Amino acid sequence: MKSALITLCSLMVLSTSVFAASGKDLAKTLKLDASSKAIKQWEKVFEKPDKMASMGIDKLSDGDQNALKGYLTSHAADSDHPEAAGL
Amino acid sequence: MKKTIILSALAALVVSSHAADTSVQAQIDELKSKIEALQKAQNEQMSKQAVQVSKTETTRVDELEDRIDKVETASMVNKINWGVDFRTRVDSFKRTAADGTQSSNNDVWSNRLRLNMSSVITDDMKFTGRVVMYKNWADSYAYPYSGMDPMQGRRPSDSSIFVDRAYVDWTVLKGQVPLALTIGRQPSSDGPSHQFKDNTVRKSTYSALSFDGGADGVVATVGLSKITSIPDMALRLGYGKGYQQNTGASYVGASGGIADTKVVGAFLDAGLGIAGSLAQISAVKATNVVSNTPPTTLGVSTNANIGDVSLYTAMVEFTNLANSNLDLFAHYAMSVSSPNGVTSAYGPYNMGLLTNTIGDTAEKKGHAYWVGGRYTFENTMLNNPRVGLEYNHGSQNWFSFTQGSNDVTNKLATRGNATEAYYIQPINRYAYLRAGAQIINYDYSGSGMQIGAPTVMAAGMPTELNKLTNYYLLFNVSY
Repeated sequence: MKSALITLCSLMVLSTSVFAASGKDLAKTLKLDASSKAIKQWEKVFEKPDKMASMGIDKLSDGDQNALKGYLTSHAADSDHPEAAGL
Repeated sequence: MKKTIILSALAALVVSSHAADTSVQAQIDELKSKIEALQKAQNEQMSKQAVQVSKTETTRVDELEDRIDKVETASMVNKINWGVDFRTRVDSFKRTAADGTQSSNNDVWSNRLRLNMSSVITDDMKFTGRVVMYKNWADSYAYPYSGMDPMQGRRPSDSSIFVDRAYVDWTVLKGQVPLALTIGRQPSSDGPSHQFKDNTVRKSTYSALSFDGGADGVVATVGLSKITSIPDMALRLGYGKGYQQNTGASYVGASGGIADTKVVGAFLDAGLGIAGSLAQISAVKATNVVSNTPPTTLGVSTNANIGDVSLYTAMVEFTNLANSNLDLFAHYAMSVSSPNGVTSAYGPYNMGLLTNTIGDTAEKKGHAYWVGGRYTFENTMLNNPRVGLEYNHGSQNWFSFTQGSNDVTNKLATRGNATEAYYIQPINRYAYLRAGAQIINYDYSGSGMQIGAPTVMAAGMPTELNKLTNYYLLFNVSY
C-alpha cells in the first residue's frame, strides 16, 4: 500500500513536470521574442512588476514565470546559441 | 401739489432708475469687455506656452533621435559580434605499451583560446566564424599534423591562430519547406553529444562519434517540420573535400597522380516530441581517401589514394529529460572501408586502407557505440553542479573521421573500450571547472588511423599503446 502510494505520488509529480507549460510555449503565447533582449535585460524585466504586467507575465503562476524566465535568459540575444548547418 | 410732487418724485425715480440701469449696464459691458480681453490674453498666453512646450518636446525628441542615430550607426558599423571561449587545462597521462612498458607525464598544461564571431548580414543571411589558438604551455613547437586540415587548431600546437569555422547560412527559400545553404568551413566539430561534457549547447551538425574536426564544404538544409509536423525535422545534403591536391604555384597542373578526397553525405534530424530531444541518422561516403604518410628521408612524397570509406550513423539524445535534470545519449555507427589495393611506404611497412598487404581489396567493416549521461544537482549554494559518465566501444576495423577531436586522446576512435567520468563545478553563468578521468583500453592497434591493419595487441608490439589513463582538471570561461 505504501509503495503504491509512493509510486502514485511520483507519477503525479512526473506527469506534472512532463505536462507543465514549457518556457518556449509560454513565450510563444505571450508573443515574446527571446532574442530581442540580452540576458541582463530580461532579468530586469522580471524585477519590475509594471514591466511584467505590460507583457502579461504577471498573470502567470510562479512556476510558469520561472519557466518563462529560464527560457528567455537561455535564448537571449547574448546567450550560448546552438550551431549546426542551416540553424 | 402733492400729486405734482409725487409725480415729480416718480419721474425722478424713473429717471434715476434708468440712469442707474444705464450705469450698471455700462459697468456690465465694461466688465464683459475686460473679461473678454482677459480671456483673449489668457488664450494667447496658453498658445504661446503650448508652442513653447511643443518646441521643447520637439527639441528633446530631436536630441534623442540624434543620440539613437549615433548608437544605431555604431551598431551597424560594428558588423561582427565577438565572443570569447578560453580554457586552461592540466592533464596527467599514464601510458602502458603492449609489452607492459609504462611511461607517464603528470603535469601537461595547455591553453586554448577561441574567438567566436557572428554577424547578421540580412534577414536571410548570417555569418558565423571561430578562430582558435591551442598550445601547450611554454611550447612553440608546431603540431606535426597541423598540415592536416581537420586538425588545425584542434590539437595543441604553437601560438598560431587557425580558422576553425567560417561559414554563411543563406536562407534561399522560406515558407512551408524552407531551404538554407551553409557555405564555407563548416560547424563540424564538437558536435552532439559533446555539449554535455563541455557544459554548452549543440555546436555541430554531426554526431561526434563519426565526425569531429574542421571541414570545408557546402550543406543544403531542407526544413521538413512544417509539412510533417515532426519538430525540428530537417534533411541535410552535404558535399566537401577531405583532401584537395595542392598544385603549388600553378592552379592548373599535374595532381601528382593523387585524386581529391570527396565527401558526400545525407543527414536526417528530428525531434522525438519530447522537449530537448534530438535524433539523427546519416550516411556518408568519402572517396579516394589518402594515406597521408610522411615523405621519405629524401623528401619524396609517399602520399597515395588508398580507397573509399562509408559511414552509417544513428544517434539519439535527451536534454533534461522530462525536467528530471538528467541528460542521456546513445550513438551507434558502422564503418565500411574499401581498400583499392594501393599502399604507401612507411618505413619498412606497406600502408593501405586498414591493411598492410599490397593488392588487398577486401572490405573491412567496423562498428562503434557511445553512450552516456549527465545529471544536474539542484543545489543553489554550489551553483547546481553536474556529474557525467560516458562509455564507448569500437571494433577491430572501426574507423571514423574524428581525427580533429578536441580531446587529445580521441577516445571515440578507440578500437577497444573507453570510459570517462567527470564533475562540472559552475563558478558563475560563464565559467566552470571540470575534473575528470579517462580510462582507455586498446584491444587493437592503430586507433583513429586509416592506414595499416588493426592487429590484436601482443607483447611483441612495444610501441603500441595498450592502455591510457588520463586525469585532468580544466578551467573554462565562455562569454
